[in-house]
Amino acid sequence: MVELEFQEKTKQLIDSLKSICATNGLGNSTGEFEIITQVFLYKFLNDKFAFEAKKIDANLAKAEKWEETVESMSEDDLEMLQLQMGGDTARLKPHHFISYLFSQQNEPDFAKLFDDTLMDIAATNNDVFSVMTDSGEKVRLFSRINENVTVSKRDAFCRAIINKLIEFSFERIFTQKFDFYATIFEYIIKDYNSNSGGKYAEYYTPHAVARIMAAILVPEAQRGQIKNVSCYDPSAGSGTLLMNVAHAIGENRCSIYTQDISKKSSNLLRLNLILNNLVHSIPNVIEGDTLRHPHHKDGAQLKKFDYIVSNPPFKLDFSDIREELDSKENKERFFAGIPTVPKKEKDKMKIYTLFLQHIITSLKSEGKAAVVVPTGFITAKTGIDNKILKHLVDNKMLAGVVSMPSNIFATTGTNVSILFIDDSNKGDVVLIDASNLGEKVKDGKNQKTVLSPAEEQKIIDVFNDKQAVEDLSVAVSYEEIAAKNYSLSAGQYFDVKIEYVDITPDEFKAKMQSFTDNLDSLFSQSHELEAEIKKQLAGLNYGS
Amino acid sequence: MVHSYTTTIGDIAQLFDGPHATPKKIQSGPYFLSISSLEKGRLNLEKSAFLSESDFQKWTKRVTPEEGDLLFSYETRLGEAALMPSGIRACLGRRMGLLRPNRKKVLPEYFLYAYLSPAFQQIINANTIKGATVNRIALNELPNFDIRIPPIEEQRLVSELLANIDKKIELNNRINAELEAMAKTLYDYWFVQFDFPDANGQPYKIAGGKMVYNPTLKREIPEGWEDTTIEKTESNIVTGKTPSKQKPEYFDGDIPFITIGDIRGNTFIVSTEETLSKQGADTQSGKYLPEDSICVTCIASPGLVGFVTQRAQTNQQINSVICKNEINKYFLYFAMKGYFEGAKAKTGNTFANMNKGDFSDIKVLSPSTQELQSFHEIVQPIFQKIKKCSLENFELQQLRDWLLPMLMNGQVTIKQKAS
Repeated sequence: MVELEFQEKTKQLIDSLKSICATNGLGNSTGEFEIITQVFLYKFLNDKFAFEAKKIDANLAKAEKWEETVESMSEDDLEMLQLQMGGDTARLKPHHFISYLFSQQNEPDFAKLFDDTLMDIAATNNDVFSVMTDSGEKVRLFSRINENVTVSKRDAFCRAIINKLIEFSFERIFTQKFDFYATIFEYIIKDYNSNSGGKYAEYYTPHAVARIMAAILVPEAQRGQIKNVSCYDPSAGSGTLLMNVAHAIGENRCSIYTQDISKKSSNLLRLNLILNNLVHSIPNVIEGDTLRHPHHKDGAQLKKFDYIVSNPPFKLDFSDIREELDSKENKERFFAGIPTVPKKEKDKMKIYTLFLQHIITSLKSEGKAAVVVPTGFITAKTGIDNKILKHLVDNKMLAGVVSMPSNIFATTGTNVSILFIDDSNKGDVVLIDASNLGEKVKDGKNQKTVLSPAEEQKIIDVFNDKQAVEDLSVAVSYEEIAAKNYSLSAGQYFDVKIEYVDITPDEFKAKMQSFTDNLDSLFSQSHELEAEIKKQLAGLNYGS
Repeated sequence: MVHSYTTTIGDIAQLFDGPHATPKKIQSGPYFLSISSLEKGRLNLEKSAFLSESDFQKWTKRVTPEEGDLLFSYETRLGEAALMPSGIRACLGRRMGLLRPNRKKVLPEYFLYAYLSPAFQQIINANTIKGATVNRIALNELPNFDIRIPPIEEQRLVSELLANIDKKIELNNRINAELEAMAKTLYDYWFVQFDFPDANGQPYKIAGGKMVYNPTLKREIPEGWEDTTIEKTESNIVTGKTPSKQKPEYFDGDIPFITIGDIRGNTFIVSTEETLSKQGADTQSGKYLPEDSICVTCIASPGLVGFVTQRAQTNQQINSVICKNEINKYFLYFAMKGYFEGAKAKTGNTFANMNKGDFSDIKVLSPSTQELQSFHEIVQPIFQKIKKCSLENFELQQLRDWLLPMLMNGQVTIKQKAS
């Protein structure tokens, strides 16, 4: 049970770091988020360096203190070693190691040394590990964590951290698989992803939803056979959706492209990519507004992708950029239209319709996409929503829809569905109504629905096999959908079953006789009461 | 000079408070009463939970409700009350109090009517403590509330009259339920089971009548019958509308304005909470519905079906069918009810926003004219009787509500005539 043991130890490390932050008044703050993610990443890169170095150099593997052996190497030997490590391991120098910082912890201005070390690692690895903004600016791997800490406490703070980092090695986790890192990643971010992230709320996509999306986009039978494909998320957030798809395809067989307006999301995504051996995709991470400045292009045209996943913001006030979006160059991208600015309730503008259109126009011919949408979208009969539905149906580029149970997201009351776009599917479309699945659990103050692994698998199997299962799914043709005013709600195609048990003629007669007898009795009682009431009414007097 | 007979609650009844916590609820056993069970003077036990025998012993240490006790709500749903029936074992629920009448001074039946009368309801209102979340009355003040209690004999005469009217209303409701169930059994036997009388008077399917699979309805139906839609059966379908609420002169007139609540539980819609003036209704003259139109709710609580009893309009949540062909009327009533019952069980909230187009496209059976005619001839008198009882109930309710305050305050009295 090595895996479980290390998972526990890793979680303990994370908890310790959080405890140190809490002690310094940083609990649950933006600063804590930056510190935890960066310190964890530093630890990860340090131990990964050790792991990779020992694989290459037998002397390092045998050494009692590998750091000292590296330190004694000549510059040429060290450079040679790092060249052999490959591009997804950060380049470190002996004075970057945790053990070195540990040995310096009692020196004056240790906090400054700590920050300088992180900044040096960032500078050394700038070409590979930086995220870019849509204006071309680079966002470095690390920032100065001590800016979040009270000046007088900084040295002690960093000493506490370095003592935690030195305690055990990550080296044995580098042979772990995707699920291990997914669990760790969720654990790291669980306190920081809420719906109070500002204008673009950073919603966290439940893992069950991400797994279903990946398993339907890349069915089991196709795994291992796809290669050199591109995967994209125009509102990537922390990258959970992309990690699941990349894992399904194979991390070394695909490249990831992202854009997200949130700096915080870009940092989380980079951490996710590094943890999941997708460092080669970091140059494709763009921090910026996808709608206003879509970055990924082939020349002047939008770049097209093999796979697209997204959990876009649903409703948002974008009234101040609405006119900017309504431009000649966006005519083709926003083919169904751009929501107008209402007089009231601007925060309910349907921004997801823009992301949907952007995704459709970013898809390669024969490409596939999975998008989380509000369930109301799939039955929209008017407006931009309906035009998008028509576009998907008339162009036969749908695989289907899975409507999720209520409260699958603990933080929003909106019911959600997953829309699967597939330009190569000209056959039936699968519609699944999973609203009756799942079990309700408490999640803080909110109620949340959780799907069991068996239920997840059932949804995946039913969808991929295009099964029609009573009360759960239907497989319908594009013509049938058009005839139903482009509705993608499974419920509207379910057969209305007549629940009736045949009765015999004798039973029918007996039942009718029973009705007659009951009515005779009721009529008699009714007549008696009528007589009584009339008599009483005749006895009424006004006054005395 | 009329004696006022005014006294206080404390003088005629003993007050008990209910529990301030909730026991573990189970599927059967003694009842744990709920204030939601109190409905206009009646106790609807379908809305109460159950508790275990040992919990029942524990929770009834202070007081065990007995037949004739008056149960009432003292927090939220103020003014609701009902009598504890005989043969029921129950304990008080939260926010529920109990008044045990002194039968030498007050009859339980009279006590209930007095409690529900407008005069006492006003006293409750005057003593209500308005809270940020809920309104309540102070239990320690309740014994001081004034209530008019005449001599026992007068109480008996008054409560007997009112109780007889209530019994008559209840009997009419039972008659209506029985009549509609009878008509539905016939509908199911003929149009679901397909055992209508064939040319030889034998049940069609059982006697080997030819059946043909219909791919639209996805079942076998008698040869020669077809599938169709509501709109193809009766094309005059009206979606309701609400006149502008900013013009008060459009409301409170003579024209019933039907909303979802008016249809619930009513085969015939004999009264409405809201009405329109002629001026208001004429702003949307295309929305008038003649008598016997069939109203169907399609939004919020879809699947309620009822007949209009006088020229009316509805709000936008209701689609209505105006039948040109008389023989379709009762067939469509059951067909639409059956559609929604079948659909509701399967699809949860899918019908949350069914519009006129969806409603018009609902698939229904198209039987031969002969069977429709025969069915109509049989059930038409049944529905006429239901309608008559419904209208009678409306009159009885009006009579009771009119008499209640005058009987309670002594303005009207009853003399027992020698017979």
